[in-house]
Amino acid sequence: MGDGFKLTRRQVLQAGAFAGMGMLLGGLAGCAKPDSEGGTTPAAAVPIGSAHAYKGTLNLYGWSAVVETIQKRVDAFTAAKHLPVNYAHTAYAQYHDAVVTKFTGNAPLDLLYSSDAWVSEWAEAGWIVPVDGLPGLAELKKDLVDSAISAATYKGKFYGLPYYADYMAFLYNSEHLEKAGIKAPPATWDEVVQQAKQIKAAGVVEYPLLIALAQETWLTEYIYAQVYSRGGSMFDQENEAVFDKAGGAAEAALQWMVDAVHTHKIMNPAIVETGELAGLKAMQAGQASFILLGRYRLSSLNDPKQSQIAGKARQAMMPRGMSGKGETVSWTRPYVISAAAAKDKDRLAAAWELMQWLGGKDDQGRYETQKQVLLASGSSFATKPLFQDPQVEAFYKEWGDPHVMQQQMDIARTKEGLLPFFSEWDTFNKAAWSNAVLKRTTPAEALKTSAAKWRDLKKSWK
Amino acid sequence: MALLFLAPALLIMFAVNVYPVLYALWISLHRSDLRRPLSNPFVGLGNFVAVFSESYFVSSLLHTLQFTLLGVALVTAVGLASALILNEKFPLQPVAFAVFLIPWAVPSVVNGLMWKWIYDSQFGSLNGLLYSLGLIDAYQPMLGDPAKAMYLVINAFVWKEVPLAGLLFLTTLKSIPHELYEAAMVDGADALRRFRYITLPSLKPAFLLVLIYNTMQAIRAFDIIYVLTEGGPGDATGNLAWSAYQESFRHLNLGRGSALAYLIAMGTFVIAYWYLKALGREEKENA
Repeated sequence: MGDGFKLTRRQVLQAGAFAGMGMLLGGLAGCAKPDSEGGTTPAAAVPIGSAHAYKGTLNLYGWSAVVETIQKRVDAFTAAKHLPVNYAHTAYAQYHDAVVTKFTGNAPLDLLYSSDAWVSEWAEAGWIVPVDGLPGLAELKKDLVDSAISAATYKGKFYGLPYYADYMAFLYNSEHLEKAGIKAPPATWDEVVQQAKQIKAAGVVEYPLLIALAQETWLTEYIYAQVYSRGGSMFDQENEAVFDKAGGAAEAALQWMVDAVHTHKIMNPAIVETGELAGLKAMQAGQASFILLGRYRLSSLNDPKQSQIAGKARQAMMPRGMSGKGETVSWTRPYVISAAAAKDKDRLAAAWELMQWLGGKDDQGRYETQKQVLLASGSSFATKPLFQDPQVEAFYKEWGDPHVMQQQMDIARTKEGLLPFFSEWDTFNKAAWSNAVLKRTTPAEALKTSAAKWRDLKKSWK
Repeated sequence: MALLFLAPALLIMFAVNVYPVLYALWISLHRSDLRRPLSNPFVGLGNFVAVFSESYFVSSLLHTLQFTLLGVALVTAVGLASALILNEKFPLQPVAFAVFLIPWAVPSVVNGLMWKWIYDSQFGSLNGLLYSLGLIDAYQPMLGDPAKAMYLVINAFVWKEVPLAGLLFLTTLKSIPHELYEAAMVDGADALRRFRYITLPSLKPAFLLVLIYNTMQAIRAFDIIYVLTEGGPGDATGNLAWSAYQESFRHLNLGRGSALAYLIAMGTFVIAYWYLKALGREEKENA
């Protein structure tokens, strides 16, 4: 067998020739300018052309939510504007990675969904353009809630109208509370523990509390909500990490979760495997009494076609802890325009038309897409006029308590620290929190290493 | 003239195989951060050094070694045992052979999803089986338990790879002249001696192939980890391939991702070379 692996001189020379060609081509490729320019030229500096002059097909990319509703709105756009749109989507859990692949591979993208957490990253990569100065934006911005503007703003530039906006809500099963003889939902995290123990002791469910701790995108919001509700912060105004402060809100929140699993046994030890969707289904099946979920999930929890607890799911104010008032974290998912689209002024105009249609007003001056998305899935909006829409009010009354919703929204805070390296730190932070819940490390240690990681990244970013 | 005829195929092979490898090497020697597309300086081995000093590197390396050593050992042992059984004549042997090959036909991602359901802590059939056999009092966390997670991932990997290993062993077994066994039996050799002095030496080529292939598969294992655990719980199952993916796609740092990919490739090459040398030397001595 060993003799068969000798190389002849000819083979070596030929291999060397091929390798040399490869190095040459690789070097030439390396000398080529990158496809995307960093610090992208603002859209307003590129003259915007005419959407009607654009003869191609617009490419819209999003995650797989309210797909039929969006498709109907896209069809309506095409009928009204005579601009064909190719609408594609993928699961939210894979969305970021899919978009990175598409941008890196120069796949055709014009308008796409983003998250507040990704705007800075994609802006720095030169993949998206700001929409400042585009016709009609100033008027539309007046109708936006402040958090939606700040969520889509990076380095003073605004990147897109909202697809939807919401906040992390504390939801409970009212029937479970009744069965356990509890008259009102918990107001503090300590009361959550007491009531969960009571529900468990009454034999209603084995693990009353459900906070989906799988290391997926939602874990970030669960972490922020718990820290904010205790009056804490993750980062200060200068984006310095403050969550590792000994005895602070983050340590209290993490310790509380560790105790919930291991001491009070009100949360399933397998919770680190449970993702948001699995958590939702468990709640719909009546397997949990208290859960953290996006407020919009309340509609599906109270939908008899999807949930066994329809009519019994309620929202309570986020429990308070320490010096907190029960604040929560809010988020906005904006539409963004690709840098590739902005290279052609007519294509940019067409993409801007589509963004306005979906994230702003249609030809009749209505925020119709946002309203349809709400009615289809409960996913909320970020435009003030819609709050007065009678259909919207009636919808909220049907499955929720508008008073509690408004009260919680008034004290919702946007995510801090959304710098370009946020995703990199976030991956590390989620693993650190998981390790603490699994008791592979202490909460203080977990937060310390997470803060050290943030500081390293911030230093190397300068 | 022959080269001319081969040129189109060679060009395609070059474009698809050689060029990307060389370009990845070029990327690994530069600071290729997608978040800073205009800044792409040559950093030499800087990315490799950075990766070595990252907090995840040691644990990723250890997980990779654990996965590889255990995974390859199990695939080889179970594959050989299966081949020895299937080499015998018994009723419905062709049916058994067909069933044996099914895991290999299952796509990797489907394999991962299937095992994810089996391992589920709330309603998985593994928990159900253990509970019904009275081995556990209540359903246990499976993939959420860092003590178990890696072994469960390895199990899913082994289940998928055993059929190919078994097939390679079986093919080689069938090529061993039967006269050797007959002569051995005439000389009074028992089954164990026949296995040790005839079967095992004859299986050396198959061993080499199985070991090299499965080592490569194990070192590069990504899809099974992506589907089952995404490196969790915590960081209990993250291996080097997973770290390379995270660096490239989640952190947008292609320089470091490529550096990790090259480390994986070099590790694979070294191990494959060692196998060839070790098994090749033994063959020379036995010749």
